[in-house]
Amino acid sequence: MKFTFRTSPNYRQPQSTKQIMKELAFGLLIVACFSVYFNYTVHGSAYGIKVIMMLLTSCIVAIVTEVAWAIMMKKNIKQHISGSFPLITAVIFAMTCPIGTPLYVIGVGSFFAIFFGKLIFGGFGSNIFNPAGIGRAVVFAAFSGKTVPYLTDAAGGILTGSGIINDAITTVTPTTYMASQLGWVVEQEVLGTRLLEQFGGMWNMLLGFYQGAIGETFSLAIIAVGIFLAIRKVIDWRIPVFYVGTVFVLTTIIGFSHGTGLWYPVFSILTGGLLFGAVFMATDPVTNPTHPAGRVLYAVGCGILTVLIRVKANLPEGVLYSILIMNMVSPLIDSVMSGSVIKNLKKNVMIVATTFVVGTVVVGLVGSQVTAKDPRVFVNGDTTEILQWRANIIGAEQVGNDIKYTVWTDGAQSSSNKEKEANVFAVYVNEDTMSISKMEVISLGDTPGIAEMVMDPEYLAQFEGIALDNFSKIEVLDDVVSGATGTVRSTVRAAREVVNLYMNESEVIYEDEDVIKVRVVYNGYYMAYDLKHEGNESAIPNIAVFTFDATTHALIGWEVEQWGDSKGIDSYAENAIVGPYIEKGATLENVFMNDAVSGATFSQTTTSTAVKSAMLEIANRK
Amino acid sequence: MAIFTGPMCQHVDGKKELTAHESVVTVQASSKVYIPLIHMNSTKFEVHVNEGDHVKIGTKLATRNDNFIVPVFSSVSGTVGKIVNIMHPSLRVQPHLEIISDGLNEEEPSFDPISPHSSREELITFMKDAGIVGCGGAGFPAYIKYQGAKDIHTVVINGVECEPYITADAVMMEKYTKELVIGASTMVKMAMAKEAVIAIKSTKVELIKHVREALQGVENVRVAEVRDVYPMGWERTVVFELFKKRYDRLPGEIGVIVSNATTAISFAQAMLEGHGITHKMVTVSGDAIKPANVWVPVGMQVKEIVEKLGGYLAEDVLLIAGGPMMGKTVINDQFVISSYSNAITILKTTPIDSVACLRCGSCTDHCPAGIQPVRIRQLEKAGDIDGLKTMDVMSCIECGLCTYVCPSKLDVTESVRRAKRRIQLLK
Repeated sequence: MKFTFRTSPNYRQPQSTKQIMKELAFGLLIVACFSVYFNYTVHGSAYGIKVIMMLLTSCIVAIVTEVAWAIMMKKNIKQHISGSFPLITAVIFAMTCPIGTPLYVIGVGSFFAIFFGKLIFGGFGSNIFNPAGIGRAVVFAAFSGKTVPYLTDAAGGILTGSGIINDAITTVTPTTYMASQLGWVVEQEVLGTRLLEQFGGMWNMLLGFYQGAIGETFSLAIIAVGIFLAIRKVIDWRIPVFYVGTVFVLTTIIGFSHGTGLWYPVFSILTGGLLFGAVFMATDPVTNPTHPAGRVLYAVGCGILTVLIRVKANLPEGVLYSILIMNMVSPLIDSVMSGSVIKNLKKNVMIVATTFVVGTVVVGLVGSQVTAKDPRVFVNGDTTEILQWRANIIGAEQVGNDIKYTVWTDGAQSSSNKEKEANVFAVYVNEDTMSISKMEVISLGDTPGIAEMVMDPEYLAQFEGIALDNFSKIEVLDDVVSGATGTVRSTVRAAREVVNLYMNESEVIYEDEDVIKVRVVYNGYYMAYDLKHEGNESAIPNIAVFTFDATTHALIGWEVEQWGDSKGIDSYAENAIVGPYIEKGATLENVFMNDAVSGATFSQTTTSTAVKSAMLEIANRK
Repeated sequence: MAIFTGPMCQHVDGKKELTAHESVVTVQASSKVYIPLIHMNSTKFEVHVNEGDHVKIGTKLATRNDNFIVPVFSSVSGTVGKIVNIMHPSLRVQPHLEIISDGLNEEEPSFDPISPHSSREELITFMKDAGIVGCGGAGFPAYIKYQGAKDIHTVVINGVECEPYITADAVMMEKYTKELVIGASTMVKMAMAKEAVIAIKSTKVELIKHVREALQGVENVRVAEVRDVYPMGWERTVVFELFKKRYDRLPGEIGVIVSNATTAISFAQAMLEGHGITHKMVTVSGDAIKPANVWVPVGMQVKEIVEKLGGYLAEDVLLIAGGPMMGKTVINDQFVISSYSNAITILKTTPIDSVACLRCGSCTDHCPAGIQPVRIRQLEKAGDIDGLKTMDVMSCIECGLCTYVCPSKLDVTESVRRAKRRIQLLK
């Protein structure tokens, strides 16, 4: 008979740290399943497999790191790992990375997370920073160009499961969009509507079926898992509630000060990995204060910092860094809140309340003073910027009541590199109403990810009804095409070129039985850029007189009256455009041929349009 | 403001069903009982009998005679033996007065009964002379509280019994409801209070109903239901639960006296029948014994009770004097039931698989004393005395809840205990 001695109490609750970690892992697994499902069904098997590979890579590197550490430190490997919980860190880290993150980057991040984030500090329980956060910060700092939300093939093109280039894949996530285009501050309500529509509306934002870090987008699932974990006492409910609550209050203040509605705080909560961070990263007990009021203070601090970083700092979002910074001050929060929890209740509540009020007021003021980033690319319809790019109308055909013009135009890629493919759009013109009736995308030389907005029928619909003589109506578009990408600009340029076709100042100046002469005033390169040159105070347009055969209406010659562009370029235009047209005997019927456009200069393409304008002038004259 | 303090309590699996509805087993002393000549920390007893004297149940044997006056009475009839040193739950051998039972269980009144309608002063003196001690576990002499009563509005009769496994108070309240009510209403008078509130856990539905029936027509005693959480039975917790007020040192500061339910019953029995505490209702429970409530004479050795219940059910056990939360393990079963014992818990020894502290703060969240065990543990391990001084360590009552909730299975309470010792050594 043995009577064992143990100090009291000799009664313990069933929940253990291992059990807590199991349930946390279970919660993470649910979110991971959503990620695999979303990527697999929406983007194809390559994406689904990549998610699994990322999680596996992270886990394997984490375990290898732990095993190596155990061997080096002469610890029992099995015992060490079972008390070190590397998989939790590995999975959380992997889930904060976007799908395009290369596996070696995941490996590096996972190693840093486990080794420098945790083991170096003395292992589980002794680390100051959230290990997954450390891993993510390393990846963020060292591989920021690699962490893209899409997969690329060997040549750098976007890989999609179905192989269709115009797939639903985007390279822009709501977070990067909000951060890089809008700077987390929005003034025009219409931008918000636009923004939400772009990512499938509020419901899809909640569901999380859009691009982002692989685990962070599934808001509803994360909230549900968070509630489950809080009820199971795996995480402390105070942290997500006060963290998200603080962000909500702050963004509501900033939103209202900029005149935006409730969508702004809601958007702020749903994006940028806030929910994922609040539920899975900020709650890491090891890196929290232990005092209940301290944890409230910690969460409030995370919220204030997140919003501050978002609206003020030159970083895409603030969740990661706010958590790491608050991790750092956790021990200090604890020492401020030492002593009795009850006897110091008033003091502690005052500390939390003061932090909240001061933080809210200060960040609210800062946020309301931040001028919203002007997302407009175009100032008005005549802006030089639209015209800077080359555009050439390469086809025209009658479709119903409309004339469908096929317009070749520079895109984000080809504007800077003439070797790259340009974009091709179809612009439908109704000549009865003299307005654009439809706009279509024929092919894109731009990476479809960058070009995502122009694929949206609603976006293209905005061109409908724009009168050809009132292209300043494009101004209306300006508000809407927030943060317009090169491709968006390309669409405007295409439409503009059709307008040019009709609106170049063309005039029949001579007509007899043999010839018809048409003078066309059109923009050249300098005009488009509004550049002074060669002693002129301002840019001057190109003026050319085109001579046509009176019976066949074929182009037979041209004469430059005034050349606004660089000297000698007119001969290029002659060699590349006018010369071949004359050789082919170009008429309105065959002028919209697929000209040799690659390598063309700006002057050449506008001269091409000028020829066509002149032909239209003859055809349409009474 | 539980947001900023944590719940400061926790529901624990009480395992009360093991003994709550079982019939009480009466155990007769076989040959010897050992009346403890130690009360709380004091062994300053004046012994009134000599070796060889014949005594009966109720004969006054000795009196603690220092700052507290606490008489003890014989629990069997027989012959007085030697003063012997045997194991005590304090884990030291302590003096006990041996009584060799004659098996006849003859009784004699210890003192004259007294009417509950006597004056307050008479009642307090009577309570002192009857040796009524707090039966909640600490054994604090009951009369002290009433002697110094000032501006008291409520007497709380503590029938919470929050320790797991223990049902002795509940069984006493059920069996001696009439005495409970008499004791409670007399205590109201002694405290010059307005009313008595019998605090019972809301989960004890039948008991509450039973006591409420007995209270019909009694003006100044009522039942208050309290949450089934640990340590609801602690004075501070139950007072805060009932009055939403905290106090510095004693509940008297906010006009409350707390007495245990069995104390009230023992007091009523003393008044009505003229005998002190000679027998105790003791819950013997756990997973290494056949659980039962036993009615035993004070001074009976635990091994006799265990034998009567069929012996230990495991080779390696934790033998705990009291409940599993606050009771101490004793390294043999020679020790005896004292006048303020209420439980013996016998558990199988199971290994504890502890991992590193993950600083979850659960101990701080749940600490009923509002201190921060996790930080005290860190500071104690680091030997940071200055840090410990700021942590209000001495507020700890060693309720054990921090160790209970610790998911890493660490001995948090023991760390706080060590910290307390370090602080005490400074004084």
